[in-house]
Amino acid sequence: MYKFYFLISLCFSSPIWATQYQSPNDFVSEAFSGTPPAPQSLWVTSALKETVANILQHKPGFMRTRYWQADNKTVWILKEIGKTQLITVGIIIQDNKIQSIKVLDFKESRGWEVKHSFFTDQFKSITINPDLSLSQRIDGISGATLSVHALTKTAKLALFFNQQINQ
Amino acid sequence: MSHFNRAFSKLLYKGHRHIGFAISLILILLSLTGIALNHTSELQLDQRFIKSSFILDWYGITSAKSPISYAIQTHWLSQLEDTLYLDHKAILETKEPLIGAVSTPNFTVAAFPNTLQLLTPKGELIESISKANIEKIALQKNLIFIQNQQQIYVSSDQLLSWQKTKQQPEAWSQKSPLPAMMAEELKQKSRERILDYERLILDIHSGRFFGTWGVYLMDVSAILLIFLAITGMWFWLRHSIKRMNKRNH
Repeated sequence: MYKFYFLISLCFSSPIWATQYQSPNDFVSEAFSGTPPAPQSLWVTSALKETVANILQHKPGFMRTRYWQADNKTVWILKEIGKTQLITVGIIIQDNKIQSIKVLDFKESRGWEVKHSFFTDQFKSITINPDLSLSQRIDGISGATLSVHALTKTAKLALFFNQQINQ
Repeated sequence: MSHFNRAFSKLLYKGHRHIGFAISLILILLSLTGIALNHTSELQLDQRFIKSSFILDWYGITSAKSPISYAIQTHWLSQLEDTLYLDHKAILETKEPLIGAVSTPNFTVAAFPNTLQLLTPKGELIESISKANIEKIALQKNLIFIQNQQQIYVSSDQLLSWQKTKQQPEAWSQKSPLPAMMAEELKQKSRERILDYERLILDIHSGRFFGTWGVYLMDVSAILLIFLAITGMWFWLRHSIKRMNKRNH
């Protein structure tokens, strides 16, 4: 019987059941040491739409994205579909380089391994090249290919948006 | 070759021919549906829906529910099943229930318990904003009000930021009954968004489309296909051995 309870508790403690790891508000607040600046918005105008679609490999499902900026730091909360569900990702960019990337909300049933630091640490100090590729290669995770793609795309998008607001 | 062996071979050969002919149509059906299922993503079979009343009736798919609707300016924002409609147009998919909607000449806001969807007047998504425990939404003089766990918040910058307020808006967004004709149209549209092509093809492939007997028919066909494969190999081997023997003599 104890074995049964143990198995049940294991099932419910599995990351599959967890969805929100951190709220976007808390992530932004933490990024600015508790005093976040007012949010600003970047409109995905027709001039940007094509590039955004190239990065996402599909039409963008939004027309506006919000960001927070103070000094040389910008924080972005972006969402992208892994396989069928949205993955919410928080990205901090400092001096045009990714300072950190974090999975905030994960609703897919597979691929949650991308939330771990062994994967997200690969994005540290990465920049975007003129051809919209990342400055370093990101190693994938077996069984989490689509989530890896989703995170890579959000990283590229945040760096591209960061470029646009700093132009 | 003994008389018994000759008779048995003749029987097998006859069986092979007749069974081959009898299940050829099923084999074609299985092959075509199998190819289609192998290319579900490319053919977008899971995103295209069956509209045929005959097939929907065959599956017993009905849409008895009435839509939840809010009147906004001169339009209607409605939710039926998991789809949000602006008048007749399906604009969003969401599992959250619609709890209110407001509209200005520049934008529309659809409120859900944990999300605010900011839309253009044509229903295109501008931004999806996460906000926990929303209970009500209101619009007053271009200010958007939401109530969240007894606290009222107001936004004056198209939902970019929120301030707490003690001001109560004059009226919160309220549900309104959708005109009967539009409600019927939405019900029909909603019914036509339930069964996708992937499901239908999968059911034809497995025989489930034809009920329990369909599944048995596919099982029998599979067994007969195995029989055909074995007898086919047997005839080919026998023929090859005969030819080799002839060559050696």
